[in-house]
Amino acid sequence: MKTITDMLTYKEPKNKELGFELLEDEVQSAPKQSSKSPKHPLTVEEWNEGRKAENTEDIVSTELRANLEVIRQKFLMPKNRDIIIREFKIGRKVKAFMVYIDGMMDKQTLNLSIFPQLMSGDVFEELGEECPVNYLMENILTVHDVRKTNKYSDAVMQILNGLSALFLEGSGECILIETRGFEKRNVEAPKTETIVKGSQEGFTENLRTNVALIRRIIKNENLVTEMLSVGNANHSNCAVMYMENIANPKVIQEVKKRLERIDAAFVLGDGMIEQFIEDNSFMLFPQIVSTERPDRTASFIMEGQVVIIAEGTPFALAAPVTFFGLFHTSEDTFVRWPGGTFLRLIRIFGLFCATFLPGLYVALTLYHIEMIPTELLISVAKAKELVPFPTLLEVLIMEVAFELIREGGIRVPSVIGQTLGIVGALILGQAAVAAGLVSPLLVIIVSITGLGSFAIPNYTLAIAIRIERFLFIFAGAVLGFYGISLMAVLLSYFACSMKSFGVPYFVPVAPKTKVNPDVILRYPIWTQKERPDALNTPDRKRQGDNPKLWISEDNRDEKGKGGNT
Amino acid sequence: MRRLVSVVLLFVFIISLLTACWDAREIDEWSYVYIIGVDKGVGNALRFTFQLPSLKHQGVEAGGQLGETSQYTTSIDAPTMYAGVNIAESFTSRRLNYMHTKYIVISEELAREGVERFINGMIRSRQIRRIAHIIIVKGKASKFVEEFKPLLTSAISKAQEGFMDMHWDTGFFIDTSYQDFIRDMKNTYKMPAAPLTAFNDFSNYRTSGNPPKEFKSEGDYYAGELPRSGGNKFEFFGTALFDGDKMVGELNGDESRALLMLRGEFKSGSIAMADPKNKELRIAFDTKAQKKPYIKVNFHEGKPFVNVKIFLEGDIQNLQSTEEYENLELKPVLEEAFKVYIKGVIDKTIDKCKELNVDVFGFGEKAAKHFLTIQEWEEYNWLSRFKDAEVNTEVEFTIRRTGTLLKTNPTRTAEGEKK
Amino acid sequence: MIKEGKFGVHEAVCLVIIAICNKIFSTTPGYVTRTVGTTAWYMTLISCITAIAFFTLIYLLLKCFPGKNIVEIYDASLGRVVGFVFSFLLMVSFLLSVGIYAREFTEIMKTYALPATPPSVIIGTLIFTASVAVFLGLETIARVAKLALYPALLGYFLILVFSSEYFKLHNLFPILGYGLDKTVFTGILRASAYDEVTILAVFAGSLQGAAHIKKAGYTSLLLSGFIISLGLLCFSLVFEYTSIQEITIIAYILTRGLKYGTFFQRLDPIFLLLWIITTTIYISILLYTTVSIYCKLFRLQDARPVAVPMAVLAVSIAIIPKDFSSVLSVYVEGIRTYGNITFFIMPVIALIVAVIRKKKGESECAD
Repeated sequence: MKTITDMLTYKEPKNKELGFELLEDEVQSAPKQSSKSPKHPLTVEEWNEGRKAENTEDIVSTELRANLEVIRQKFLMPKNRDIIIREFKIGRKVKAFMVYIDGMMDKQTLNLSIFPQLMSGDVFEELGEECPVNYLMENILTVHDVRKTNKYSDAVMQILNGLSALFLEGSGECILIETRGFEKRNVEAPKTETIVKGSQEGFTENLRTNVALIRRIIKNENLVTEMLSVGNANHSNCAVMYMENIANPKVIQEVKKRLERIDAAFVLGDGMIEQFIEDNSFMLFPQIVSTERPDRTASFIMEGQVVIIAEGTPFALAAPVTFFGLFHTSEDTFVRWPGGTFLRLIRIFGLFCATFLPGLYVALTLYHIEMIPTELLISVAKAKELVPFPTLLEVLIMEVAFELIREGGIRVPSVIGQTLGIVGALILGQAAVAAGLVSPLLVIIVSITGLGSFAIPNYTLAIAIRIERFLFIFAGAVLGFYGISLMAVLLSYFACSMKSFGVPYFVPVAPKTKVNPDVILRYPIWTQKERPDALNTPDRKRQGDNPKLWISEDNRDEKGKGGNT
Repeated sequence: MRRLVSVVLLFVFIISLLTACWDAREIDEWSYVYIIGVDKGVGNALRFTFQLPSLKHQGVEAGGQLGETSQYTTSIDAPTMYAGVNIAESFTSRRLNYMHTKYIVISEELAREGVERFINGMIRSRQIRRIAHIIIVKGKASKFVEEFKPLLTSAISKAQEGFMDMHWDTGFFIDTSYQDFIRDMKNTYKMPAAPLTAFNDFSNYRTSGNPPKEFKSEGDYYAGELPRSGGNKFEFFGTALFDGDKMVGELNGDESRALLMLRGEFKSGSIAMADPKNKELRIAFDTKAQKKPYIKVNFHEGKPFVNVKIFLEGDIQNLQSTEEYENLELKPVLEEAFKVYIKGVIDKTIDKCKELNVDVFGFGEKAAKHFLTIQEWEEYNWLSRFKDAEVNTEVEFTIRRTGTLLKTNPTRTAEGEKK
Repeated sequence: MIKEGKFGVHEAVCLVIIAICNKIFSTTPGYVTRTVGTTAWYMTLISCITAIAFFTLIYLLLKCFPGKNIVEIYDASLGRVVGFVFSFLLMVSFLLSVGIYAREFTEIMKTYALPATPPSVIIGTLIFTASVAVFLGLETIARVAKLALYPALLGYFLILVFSSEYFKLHNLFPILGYGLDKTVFTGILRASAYDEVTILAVFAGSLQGAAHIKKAGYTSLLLSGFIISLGLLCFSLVFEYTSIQEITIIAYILTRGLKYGTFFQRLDPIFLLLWIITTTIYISILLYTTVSIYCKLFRLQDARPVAVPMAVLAVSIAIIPKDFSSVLSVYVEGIRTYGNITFFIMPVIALIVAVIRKKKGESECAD
């Protein structure tokens, strides 16, 4: 009852902050932004945060016994067997203990670089008046990354991340030592985005590895990686990467704001993050693109988009994205421009087939038989004599069966998986025709539709298209071509009203921005001189005026040579 | 946004429940009419004949093999076509659909009385296509529809188009679509013409006798008179001439070629004539139209003067004599002879049409340029003035190529060279 | 005041072109040929020139009041009451256009493509789609118009090119039709075919400046004049004046007649796709204009509650006529003949009043 009244009553439009618009402003002509971010006046939250630090309960105490108790309590020991507390004496004099999680630390580092140095007799020989923690950090701990903190919450967080915390008797700070060393997957070829001509490295589940993969491609000091923590309970780490002088600062701000405001207990991986921060959850099309390849991610960063990498899944998210950007793969960039254009056109043709073909078939055979050539019509009619189902039901049966095969094929063990996929579908189709369940033309149509949907590079978009196909089938069955046109217009209304992080979804066609020679047809690489206009990046130029400088240089050389040959 | 999307989805699904409520008809709920024949009716005003394919499967089918499509014919007496269709549906299990009708065949008897009644009536339906062909049959249209079983293929619509396409190759009849026919019926520029078809009882194919001495051209027959045996029973030959909506005359094959040449629609044809130097032998050319004819209409005291110049070109197809027509001295002789011959045929055609006062050639189209407003043009009423018009024709003909032989050497017999 | 978003010259041009040129696919060519005969193609050029002249006057009026849309201008120059009446009349004209065109479209659909469907279903789904557009806002409609215009124009020109094999130059003669005076007079009277250019005046606030409006207006009028004239020229070349007067929709019959060999025949449903898409966008934009004027009249903050009742009104108007003949002869002819008044004459009156007032020293009209 409430949903019905909800639907019918008028509600004031909520002024969400989603009214975020990426308008043109004067920043676009500025050559370089100052590297320092301007100082904002403190907001209330920040001031409160500062005050919280004086919450005495969180401060590490100077008594070792007290620290031990607190740590044991926080980690629910002795129930919790993962945490190990190693008590020892530093330099055979000072009592201390080390806390770490078994399985997440690197045993080699601890056994070879930390404990020997700490436990040797002459640790505190040259200790003067200074604080022992500082002395240890500067002189004794031969590890590549140490920090100190005086808060329990901080220490606990870092222990959970895999670092080790060293507590000293008599010191109100603990040392956090970088000892991460858990099992992780090697860098392998990307599983979902295979290309022929290009690098074969893909992301893994480890955040550090992923960020390093990108750093290897973009060796620029302006590449910034900000770390955020999402998920109230699982505290998953999330890296936001962008180029300081290229990405629009408003977009960066918006992305960070949305990430920080996620208020959920469990957030793992980019899929869930995408669903939390996207603009329109009720639209079928994806507004954030996800990729498994570092080279593609690097190109996104260089275009001015902001990249989000989360722990736990080997994918990276990039925002903002437009509809035409979903059709680009790295293959287009690595192949020469005729090949790139051709591949793109094939993909768009695949998109049309996947969306419209079954709907058009239903509309044609039910309403507009005049379009079918007479001979084909007679043979289709003859074949249909044997089929007991009406056309709509036939089409639905075949489509649903195809979707079942697709879904089931994912889970079949890979030994049989390949065979089942292709051969199974066709043989099933043949058998269905022989049994008189469907007409032969329909098998062809469904296979072409399926192939078309495989040609779409973006997985989320492909799923969206598969859903839309059913809408078109129904629309075609009710009102023929009229229904299909109306449905197409309706869907384009919804699609064109979408904005992805302030960039309208169908840029550069609608609204019009400066043409980027890389939207549908891919022009040669030396014509792509500027970054996409819609992203309003501060730095527009991608290539110099004459990216092929070797041509003019050669000419000069030739003229100089004269008649030597 | 959520409300909007959910309302839209709800609407779509509710509407989807109405699938196939109104207009959707499965393919197997229709029966597709190939040909419609119109006759003068006995029991009622008109007699309609429909040819429908029978989609029965013969024998055991293996996975999609289709057997021969057979057709069956049915005739109805009815006041108008749609009433006739309704009557027909009372003894067929499917609705009749004539979106794929390619031929509309009208019997000569009915055509001579006037076709206006049903031509105007049929076009109102959305199913009748204006690209259907109008054919006039000498005899009964119902018989034509029954006997229309093409021998070369079982794909009826291909055969239908194929028959009509032959006129490009030969020029022996014209091809009129429904659109052209109605347009010419109603406009003020020219009169309609339609292809003629007739049944050949093969009686002209005599098995004993001598060929005629004078030159008889290949097109000098009316439909149904071709001296042949074997093949389909009906043949397309010649044109029917209409005055408005009534048929008033016929043209034979040669005259149809002239008509096409004057209209500018002549594409190619193999035309034979008597050898100018040796009247017993024949020469044939593969004639093509070089460009569209040049027609100029002048008015002098209200009487129209028409100057027509027709441009043809040809390749020599066969020379029965051994004269060296290929060389440059004798070629003009050949060309002149051909020009005279063609001019004769054209003049004969024009005179025939002038007698019947039908301007099927489209001279009126060029005459309209002299009038400024439609009122003046309609007052002048070109269509009634054609019989007073003076037409001067000229033919231009060039022999381009001689085929694969450049020279014909005489045959040598025991008595020396044959001359 | 409702939030309307901004769009640029390119999108405005596309919107107006779709709004104006949709008429080529309706029964208008047939009706026009009854009056002017073979000269329809340059009669429409005369209409275009007249419309350009009127648009110049509207532009001057908009320049007088920079940044304001036509409702506010009527208020400012003519006073509250008269301005209200004028704006109300404008809104009613748009609504009538929507309803009557929807009805004409439905009748044509029923004649050619969907004979058994009840007309209320066709009208209902059409207006439903249009009202969804109203909910989503003006920017959406402009963007979809831009997206749809290119394929539509491409299809249109392809049809014209493919039908070139049936062109016969003599169909244009006699060249002056039923008389030059009739042609010119009908041309001026029928400038109402281009009256949708007034939507630029209604959305003047979203167009970022008077220079943009000028460019958008002139470009769109010239382009639509060219498109309509080209279409009518092709129709006249293929059919004669006697045939065009008979046929319900000449553009559809033209597509039906395309035949290239045995295979490329009977391809008219593809044309149907294009036409339905442009019609839907046309109805959406006009419906949105109606809703927009209503909201501006009564100074409402949100357009969305108004959309559904306005859609219901449009459907009711569409169902009023009893049969197709009365739709054409009474209603469509009425709109074409009297449309001039609301769309063109009223702004001219407002302009004159504004100029007079400036002479009295009241407004700051820079003219």
